[in-house]
Amino acid sequence: MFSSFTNKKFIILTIITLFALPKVALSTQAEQPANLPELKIIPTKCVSLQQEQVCYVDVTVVWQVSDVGDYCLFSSLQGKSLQCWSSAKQGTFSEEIEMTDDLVYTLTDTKSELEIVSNRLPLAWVYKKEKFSHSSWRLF
Amino acid sequence: MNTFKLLFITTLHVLSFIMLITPTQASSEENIRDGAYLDIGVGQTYKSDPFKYHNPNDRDNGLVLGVNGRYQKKGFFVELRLGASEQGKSRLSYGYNFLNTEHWSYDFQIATNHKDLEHKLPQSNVNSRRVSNVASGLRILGDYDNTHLRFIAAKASGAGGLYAAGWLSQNYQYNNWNFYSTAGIEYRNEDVVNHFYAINEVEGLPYYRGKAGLEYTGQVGGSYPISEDFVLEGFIRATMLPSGVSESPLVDGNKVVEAAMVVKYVF
Repeated sequence: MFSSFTNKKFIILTIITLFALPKVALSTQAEQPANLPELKIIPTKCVSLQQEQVCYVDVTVVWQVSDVGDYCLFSSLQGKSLQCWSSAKQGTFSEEIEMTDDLVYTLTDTKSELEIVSNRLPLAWVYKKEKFSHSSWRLF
Repeated sequence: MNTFKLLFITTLHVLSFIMLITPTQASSEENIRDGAYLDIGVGQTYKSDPFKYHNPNDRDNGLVLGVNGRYQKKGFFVELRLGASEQGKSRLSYGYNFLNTEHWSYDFQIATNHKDLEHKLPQSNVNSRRVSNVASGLRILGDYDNTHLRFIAAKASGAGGLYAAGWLSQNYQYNNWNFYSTAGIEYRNEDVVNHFYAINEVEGLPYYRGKAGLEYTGQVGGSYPISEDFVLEGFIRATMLPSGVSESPLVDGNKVVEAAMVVKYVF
């Protein structure tokens, strides 16, 4: 009788444990800090209607590093920094841009001038540019 | 045979001859227009009804499904155009792209150049259906960056039906919106006009035979890329019908206004 009860208890405990384990694992993952350094670009791409067209987008760059320091943000569109931060470990930057190629944002350490993290904003399009394209005259 | 008809047919024959003797790119090099295109859209359309006895089941208003497709291999092509973007009234056409230059492309095309019509006669409610027949013709496309041209000369519905059209379209970009304005002129001879708009003296309607004429169309529209696969499109179009059409007892008025807003998935 006792043995049977113990077995039932063991089975129930095993089932609960099996269901609970993934949740515990997930919550453990969620509590883990983000992989630093990181640099997020919002939106994730700029989409124009046709290949080779200028693409217009309002970009927000959000960066985060593990150590407080002096940092500057650069883009592949211009040589000088977009914005610099002092004694910071995170920052946000927004701008309106016109792009004709993929754009790369880079965060550098101001003192060492070393690249800390970078990310790419790809240029995408719906219609490939081609002569006599179906998309160009289908509205006739 | 009048001078215009003679000139028209002669032009068609000369162009057909040029087409036959012109070496094609297909045999020696890749045809630049070979490839496939397909989009499927759903949207809302509005079209004023210029017909007095239009079959109510043949509706142009409301929610529509649109399809635009083209496939070309070694110069041979098939095109499908259904729904709100359709203006050429050619739903399924096929042909051969026989010559491409830097700015011009020449197609031999078999297509319809008027949509089917159904007139529901006032007393008997009998449908007087006017079917648009496929016919051969020449289509020329022009491409100068943001300026697009399109010319068609073709046989058409009716015993000696002839159709000719010219379109000019200019594109503009504002931010990621792409706008365009288009103007078009279409000619249909009296055989085509009468195939679709003539009526004998029946059911209180007077005998009518129309004459050849020009139809003028103006269109403005825009497209916006929602993502790499989805496009939002809208347009408004006004057409001025020729007197040979507008004076028919089957027709009420001389203008047609159309508008549509469509979301498309581009494959």
